[in-house]
Amino acid sequence: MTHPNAWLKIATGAILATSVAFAASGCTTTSASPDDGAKSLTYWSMWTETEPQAAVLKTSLESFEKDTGIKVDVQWQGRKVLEKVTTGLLSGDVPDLVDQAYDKIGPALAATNQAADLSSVLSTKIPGEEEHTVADVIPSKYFDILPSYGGEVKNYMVPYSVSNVSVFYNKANAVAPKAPTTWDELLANCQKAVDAKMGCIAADGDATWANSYWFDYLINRNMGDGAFQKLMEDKTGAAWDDAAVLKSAQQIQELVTKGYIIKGYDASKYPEQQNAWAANKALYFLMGSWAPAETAKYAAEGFDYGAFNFPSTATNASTANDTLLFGFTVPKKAAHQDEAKQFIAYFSNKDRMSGISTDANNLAARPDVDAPKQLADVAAILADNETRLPTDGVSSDVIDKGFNPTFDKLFLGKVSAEEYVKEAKAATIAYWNAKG
Amino acid sequence: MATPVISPARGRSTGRPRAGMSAIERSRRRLYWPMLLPALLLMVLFYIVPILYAGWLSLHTWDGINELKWRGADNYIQLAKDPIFIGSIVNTLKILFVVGIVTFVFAFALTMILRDMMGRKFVRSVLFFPTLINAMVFGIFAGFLFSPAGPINKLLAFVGVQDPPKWLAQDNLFNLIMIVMIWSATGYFTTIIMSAVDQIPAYYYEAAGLDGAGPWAKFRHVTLPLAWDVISVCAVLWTMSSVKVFELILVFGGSTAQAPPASTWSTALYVYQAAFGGGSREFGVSAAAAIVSLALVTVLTIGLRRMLRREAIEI
Repeated sequence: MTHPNAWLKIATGAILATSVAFAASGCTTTSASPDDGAKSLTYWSMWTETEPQAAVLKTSLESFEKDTGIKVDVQWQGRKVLEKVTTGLLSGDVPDLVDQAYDKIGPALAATNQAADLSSVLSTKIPGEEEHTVADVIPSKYFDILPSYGGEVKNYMVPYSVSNVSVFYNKANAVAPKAPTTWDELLANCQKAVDAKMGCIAADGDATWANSYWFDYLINRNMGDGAFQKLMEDKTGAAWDDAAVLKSAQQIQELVTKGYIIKGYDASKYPEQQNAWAANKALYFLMGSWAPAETAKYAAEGFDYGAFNFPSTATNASTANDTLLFGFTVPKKAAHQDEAKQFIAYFSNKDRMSGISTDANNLAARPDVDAPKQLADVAAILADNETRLPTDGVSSDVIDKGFNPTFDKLFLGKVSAEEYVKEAKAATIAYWNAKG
Repeated sequence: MATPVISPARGRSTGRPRAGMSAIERSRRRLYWPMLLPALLLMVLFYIVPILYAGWLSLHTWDGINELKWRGADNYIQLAKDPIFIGSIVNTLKILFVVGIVTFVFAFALTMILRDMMGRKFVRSVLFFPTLINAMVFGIFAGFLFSPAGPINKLLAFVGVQDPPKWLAQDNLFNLIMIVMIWSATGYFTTIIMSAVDQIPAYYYEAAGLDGAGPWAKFRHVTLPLAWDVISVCAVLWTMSSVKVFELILVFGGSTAQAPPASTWSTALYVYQAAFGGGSREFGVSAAAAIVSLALVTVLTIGLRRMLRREAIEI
């Protein structure tokens, strides 16, 4: 064994084995272009295979395969799908069809100019419903509110599912069965709840993303559409000097000081108080339309899910409703864009999309698909009001770093409205100062 | 940190094999590079190259997809101006020093107690147990245990505390994270230090006892010097792991896949958030933050090694 050549062989073998291992691990790509001439489509989904949305999509993918002869390779990637897509873009392994929420697709693919223009899909006739095009059945307001994120393509996404943010309540409650339409009515109902020894507003202190809906909506009602974006993107911080900002902060402060927010909210972890709300321990819960599905297990007996649009603070105030869109996008580098677009139109068919409502209990992007029973109210709110994006669609970076840390102090009752406005202004300036 | 077990030729680093060298010595010499090379290759490929690449990336703007744009030192300037990044460094240092010191004090105390204890092997296993549990479990379990209507508060109410502390309030979040870290790290380091202490022959303690040494004197004059090498390795291990603390904070502070409050971010979390967290996808800033933390851990490790350097004592 001590012969030099033996060691040389072993060493060479080891190096070879290592390099083979690298080659094998680093360079595997799933071939996106089969050579047999058959059409194919690779779809990476935001859902995992066991979710009801996956089952709905699977049914349509199978019938699409049968109807068109296009072979579909679907991979149930889950919520981190876009991180895989962006990695794939570097190595050339790109799916033809991807889905996610607008605020995930936008920064990942629209901002980087990696999303294909889907305008042509809008004018495509829907298979099985040839009298309609996609644009006929999916409201244009959903496309209008999509932010471009600085990218060149405007129509980079076609939604198939919608969530919106409204105030949920138990219609069968005895304290205040009538839904308020104005801020003052809401406060009056809150007083009734407190008098009845129950919480008015359910909130979890650590769920800043949900608690900030209150301030975001108040800014919208007090200052109009786009005001929140101005607040966040004004590098000088001057937008914070507007008296309506202070008023909004004072309205939050009033909820805190009058004890309208459920006791213990400042020391609870989401979804603790969400479940408390479902158990009738609080009257109202401002949340996305996934709330009924998430709380169903914890709901008190006879709980009748209702919802109302965020109340207005003045007669001519905006009544826009926070809407979150989930839909398909096609990477610009995808090999089979036409097939991907074909499937988007195919899934826009009423029968196929209705599974989103009947099986997955979400709102479908088509208003003519009946909403699940628990979401009847939110579907009406969505249909009757203007649509806006939560926080006017500003980047989550400025929210996480520039907005949330100071807003937490206000919502958790650690600073007054005046102190808050001062601190929030300073934080916005500091954020943009660091950005350079 | 690993050093090759087989030295090239005991004290001689270069030179051709000498005529007087034994056959074993010669074969050892021939073995050196072939044995070292695969590890070295992996090390270079998976550590050195990515570090150099991160350094290069930190001088650019990059969205993760399109072309890199030169930005020079601006990413570092941005970090220096960013109060959130400064806060994340302070948090990392808090983890390193506060959690580190408390953990080691506990580990020493436990070592002293366990040394003469009956059934110490069992106790040691129990102490080691928290290390095996995933941080996720703590995050979820703490939310249940410390919630306003949770078991801890119910217990407190039972003994008459009507106004319990706000355990999960944001101000306490980072403290709670630190407590969990202490809890899970103490067992780990106690186990390592204990194994070093076990090697110390009992007669040193007996002799010290005869000289009238109490538990503290025994610890100071017998345990500490004789276990010093292991302790200094533990200190370095802790330094490196504390700078990498990530998932515990993410799980504790982040509900439903949102970013945890910025007041709890460590540098590792900042690195992640800059690249993947927000909508900005700032890979350049992320790389710069990673390089700053690497510099931090390097300086601290070297400093610590120098501070803890002692003459090795042979048992």
